[in-house]
Amino acid sequence: MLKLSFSGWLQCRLATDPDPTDDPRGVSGWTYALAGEPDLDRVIRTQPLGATIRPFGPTVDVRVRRVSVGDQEIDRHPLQSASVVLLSGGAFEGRNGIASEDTEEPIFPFHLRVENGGIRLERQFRDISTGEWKFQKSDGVEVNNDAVREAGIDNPDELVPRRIASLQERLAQTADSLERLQLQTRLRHLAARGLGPVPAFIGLRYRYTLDGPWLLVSDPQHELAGTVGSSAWVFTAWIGCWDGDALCGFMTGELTMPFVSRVFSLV
Amino acid sequence: MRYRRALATTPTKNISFGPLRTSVRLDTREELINGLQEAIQIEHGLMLQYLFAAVSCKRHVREGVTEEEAEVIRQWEAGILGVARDEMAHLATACNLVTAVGGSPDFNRPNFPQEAHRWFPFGFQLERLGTESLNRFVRAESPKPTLLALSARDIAPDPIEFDYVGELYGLIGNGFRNLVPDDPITKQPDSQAEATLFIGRPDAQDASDWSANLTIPSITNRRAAEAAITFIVEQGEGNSAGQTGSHFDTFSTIAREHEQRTSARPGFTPSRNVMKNPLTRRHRDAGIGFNLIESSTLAHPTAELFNHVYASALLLLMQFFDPAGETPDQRQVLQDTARRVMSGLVRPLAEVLTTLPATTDPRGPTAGPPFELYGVLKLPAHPRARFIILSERFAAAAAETQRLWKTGGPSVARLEFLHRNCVLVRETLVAAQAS
Repeated sequence: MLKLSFSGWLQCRLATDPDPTDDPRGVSGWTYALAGEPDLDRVIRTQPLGATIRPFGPTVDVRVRRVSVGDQEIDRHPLQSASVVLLSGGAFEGRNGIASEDTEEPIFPFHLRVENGGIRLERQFRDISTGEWKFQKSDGVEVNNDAVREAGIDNPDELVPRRIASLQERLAQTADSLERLQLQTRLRHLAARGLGPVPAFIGLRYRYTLDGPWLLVSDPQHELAGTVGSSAWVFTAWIGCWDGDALCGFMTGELTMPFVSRVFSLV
Repeated sequence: MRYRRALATTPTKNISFGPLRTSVRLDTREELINGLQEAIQIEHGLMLQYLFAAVSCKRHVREGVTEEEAEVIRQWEAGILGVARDEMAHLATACNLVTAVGGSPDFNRPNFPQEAHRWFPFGFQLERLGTESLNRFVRAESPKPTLLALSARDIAPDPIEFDYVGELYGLIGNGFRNLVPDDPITKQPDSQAEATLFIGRPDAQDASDWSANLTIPSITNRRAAEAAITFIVEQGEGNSAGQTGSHFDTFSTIAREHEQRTSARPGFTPSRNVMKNPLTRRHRDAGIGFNLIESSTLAHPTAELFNHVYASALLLLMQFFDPAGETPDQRQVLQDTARRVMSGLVRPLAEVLTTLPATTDPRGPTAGPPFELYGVLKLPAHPRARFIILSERFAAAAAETQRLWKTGGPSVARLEFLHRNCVLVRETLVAAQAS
């Protein structure tokens, strides 16, 4: 078994209730597009490409932090620091509660890629009998203080005052009218609503079993020193620490897959 | 019909709705229900007018506003939508009040437009955000300078006349006190009169906050009714301590800022060129001043789709507030679905309409949500039939959103997303019927 433990910040620029989920700018919810930013698009981005980064927000970058083969953690594994990417426009599919209740939103469609150098592992979450994208709700809400620490948040209570101080300092320095407008808008929302309605330690738990033929394993240089199997891969993750100011959340989890090692035989 | 002196002698411990200048009051169940039904129509109508103005707001710099103006307009839109949501809570509270005294809420209302004094004391117009609409909103939410005047009749209920929303609620509040007077010894509401008046099923009332932090109290006695009415009036007009945060204050502030912006930059327009009082067809009950969306435009079938979805949302609310044997789980589905349809279908469809030309003239106005009722909304007597009708309506909406999105081009691309919403709502209702 090959186990990849990953974590990092993602961005999802999604309008929130009572705005329509497909609202392009955000009006009455707690998320919004700033002046000069592109329209909201609902897409979950785990890498900086395509993300709309706001100053003083987290760095969007979900990566593999630890790799284990069997029970053994492998240092300097070729998948160490691999990027974890959601493809096919995966989004939290809530639709104002029409598709799923708050806290049950699935990631839909779910299409995962782990990539480092020439190695690429990719799988889609589809129904094995119909081929349609699978719609599987989250397993619900879970408190995870370890994840909060892993996200680098020592004291959640200090997040908003610190962010406000940083934005105010920047506002005092810049003469750029668009940047000033963006900073002022963020400051107004932070003062009124903080980072949003959900405490940092509350997140959604996911467990998706990925099977079927919709997978890609590419290892042209045989760096993995073994073979990744095509039977079920299991993706588990916790997503929380919602930052409504930066439109970011923190994800931590594991991807496990069958693996036949040339060194360790079947593990 | 009983004639009494004004309530100046009512113990001061009670909530006051202001001095009365009339000797005629609501003092029968029928009159009270009529007054509350009037309140339901008014809250409903106000909510739609506010929603219309909100969805007319410009969103992008490509619509002829600066980034800074777009941000201000967003704040105005948010403020107006916030008031519209409060009106939804007022509507739900008025429904609880009418249910509490043995009535059942009716969501039928005359079609737009309605000129002042034809149906209501003030005009009901669907109009884009601008000076005229803001002035009307301020007027609708302004504190009452005068009081009700009613004429008396015998067996027939008194006609309900008022100039301000707060006046109507004052009338209703005093009506509750007329029908449940204080016990002269305990100075508390007469318990026997209270039991006689509050005959509605408490579990038929709406006691949730619609997941939106709205205040919707259950009404089981006179004190609760008076408190609910006071809350509605104060949220609209403000109270003796001031008007900060009231709807009147919100609209007055937006109107003032709008005037300043317009003076500072002539030509500044916060809203799209949305047709005033758009309709897809003529209606006998509509007043003067309507405009027909041209039938050859894409806006026409889209507006008809909108009206269909809006009426379906009203049917959901009617079924929720007037249960005929639905289980608690089914009622929860009805409430959840009504709220979700409003956010996930009614509002986005309304926004789409404000971007679609309403005429074949390229310089002409765009359409807007007509909120038309094509006939009297009525529920069948049995829950199963009710759910079947609702499911059919959302199946039809799903088919039409799909047809329009596939044939209408990029201007209605958003309908692809909304089509899926219609499909999912139908599935939810089918499942609820079977449960």
